[in-house]
Amino acid sequence: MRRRHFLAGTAAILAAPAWAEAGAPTYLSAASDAGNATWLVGLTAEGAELFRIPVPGRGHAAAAHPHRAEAVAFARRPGRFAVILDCASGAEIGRLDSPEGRHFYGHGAYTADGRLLLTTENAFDVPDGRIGVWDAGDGYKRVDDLPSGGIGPHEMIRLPDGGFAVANGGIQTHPDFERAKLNLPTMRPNLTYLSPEGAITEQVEAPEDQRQNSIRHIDVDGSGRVVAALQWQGNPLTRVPLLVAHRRGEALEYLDHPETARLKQYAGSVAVSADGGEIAVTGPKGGHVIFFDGRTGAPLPGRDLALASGVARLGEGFAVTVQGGLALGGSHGLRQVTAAPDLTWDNHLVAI
Amino acid sequence: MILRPAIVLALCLLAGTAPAQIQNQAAPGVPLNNVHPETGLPYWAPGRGVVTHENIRRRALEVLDRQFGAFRDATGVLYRTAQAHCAGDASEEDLRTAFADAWLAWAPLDSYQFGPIEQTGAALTVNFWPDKKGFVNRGLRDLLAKTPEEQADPAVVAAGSAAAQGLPALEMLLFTEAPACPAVVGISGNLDRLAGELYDGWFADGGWADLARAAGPDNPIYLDASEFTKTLYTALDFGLTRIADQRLARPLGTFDRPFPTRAEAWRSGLTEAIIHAQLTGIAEMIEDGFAGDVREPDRAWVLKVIGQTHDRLDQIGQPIKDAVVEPASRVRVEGLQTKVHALQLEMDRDIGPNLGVDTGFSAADGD
Repeated sequence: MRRRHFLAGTAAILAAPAWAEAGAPTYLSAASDAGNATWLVGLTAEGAELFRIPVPGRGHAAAAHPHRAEAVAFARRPGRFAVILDCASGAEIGRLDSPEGRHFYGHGAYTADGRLLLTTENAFDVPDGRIGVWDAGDGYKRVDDLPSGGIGPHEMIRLPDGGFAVANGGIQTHPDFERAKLNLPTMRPNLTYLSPEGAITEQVEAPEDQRQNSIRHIDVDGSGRVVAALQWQGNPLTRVPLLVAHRRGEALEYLDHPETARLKQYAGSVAVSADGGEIAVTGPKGGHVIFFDGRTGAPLPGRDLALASGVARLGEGFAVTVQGGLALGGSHGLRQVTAAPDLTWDNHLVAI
Repeated sequence: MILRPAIVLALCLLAGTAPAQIQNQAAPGVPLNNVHPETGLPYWAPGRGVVTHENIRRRALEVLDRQFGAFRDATGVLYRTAQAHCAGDASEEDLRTAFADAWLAWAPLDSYQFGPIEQTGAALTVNFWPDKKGFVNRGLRDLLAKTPEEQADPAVVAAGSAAAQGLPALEMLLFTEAPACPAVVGISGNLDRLAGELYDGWFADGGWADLARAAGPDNPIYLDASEFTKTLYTALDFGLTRIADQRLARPLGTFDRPFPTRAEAWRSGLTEAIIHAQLTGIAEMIEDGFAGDVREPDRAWVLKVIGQTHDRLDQIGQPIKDAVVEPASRVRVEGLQTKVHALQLEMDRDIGPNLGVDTGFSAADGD
């Protein structure tokens, strides 16, 4: 039994196409068209569309396999499915069905060797945050289930050391209440670090005055410092920072910006430039993007950018999804390139 | 209460829409005689094609004021009755009546899972349902293990399990062998505080109502008045989902395996009255809140379908928990569920597009 699984796994790896065969996309993003059909799209850094693969419902984010031209497109919360796509052929390889009593949060990450896929999940009746583990070498069979370290695990990313960071947003939700937030008076988000094997190695909680500032989307720079985009759930008129940085073993460092209010208490995505020099935080509700000096945390001039949602690193700057394409650049300026102008992006830009 | 018509009139005048001199903009010269008897506001002529979200907001806030005010008042009566009952001055029947009134006043609010209800976490603390893991029992057991003084203390209840703070916990105390006093005092006192907090969360200075009124480019929640309309419309749709997919679907289970005790409030027998009350709340918002900003034929039609839904509920003729077991009566519960789903489609077709709220999605929806 074990031997057969091993062989099947090996064969799958050998047969699978590499990203070059899918046109070597730089980015993936979910999108929908005017007829509400939903897609996973592969883009070059200049916005050229390499593929567009249908997915069964509104997507949120995707996870790209580190070697194979394979991606998992996650349904928008509280989605029950995730679709595995062969991005070279456009074929659907399979679907992940969340177990009974669970739904996906819309994010996940592969292990560095590409053997396992990890997904953030809501065990909504408990309630508890969990990480589902799926065997990418064996037809994405579910093989394990780990604690996420908090309520509402949202984005998880792989770190340079092969471990993972998980943003436990702190918000309790239940599909019976659709997207309503059920525990705002008592929520407390945290950032949790996992070893490459998935064991919790460190946790850092939001301090009391930032207890209602949900930690949801994260990125990491080359040194392993994690940055997180925040969504404020407290009194909407309270002024709060929407970016937090964290270095292992230290306290959370909240970074304010004079233009934070323009984001309407809601940071959509965050990215650090490849050289670590700049941090971008998008505000899709406010139609604004703000930048920070990646080394000092000092605020840099932001830009109005309608529907700016997904952001990913592009050299010393960023690519940001906007209506009709991508905005490329950083605090010094952005230029817009057309990409799949018939689509609306939803919600994240995933760098491969 | 006496002041209200005067306020309505004053606001109408401010908004430049004095009810008596309404011009029929779609058909100039044709008299517009269908004016709502209570609000004095016109049912706009079909095809007007203009929705004034500021007017919807003003009227909708009046509906919310009434509905959240009714819950606050009912929990006040409940708290006083619980105190009187445990002091020997009110009968168990009085207490059960006050309890039922409080739950039926909550029922319309179940649809509004945004703003103050989210901010206070009231969805679970007021009505911990469905309770799939027996959290209400567990929470109550902890509460009943405390001293009588602690049980009667709303602050102690507030610090305990959310599941032991709400209506299902009170139901357990009033309709099982559990000793009602003095825990009913502590729970209803905390519920009364929470109901006051919810009302103030909406209508105190700087509350959610002010936030909605201040819709605009600098508003952190509502960039313009239409976004508040959209939130309300979505809330009503959610209320119908709660009826069809929870209140009816849970006891229905499957044909081979119905679950009578998964009906909400089956112990107190309030299951059907709660559904009636939620439907009534939805109809109020459409009739008095959206009012003339939805074309009269569409609005009348949807209200008629809501009326038919009430009738279907009455036609079940027995408690839902009993009806789901026998095939002959079960079909009536299923028929009601189908009717609620059909009502959602009618709303989707007739009310949403009428209000001009974009129910499509946008990258700004976020998550």
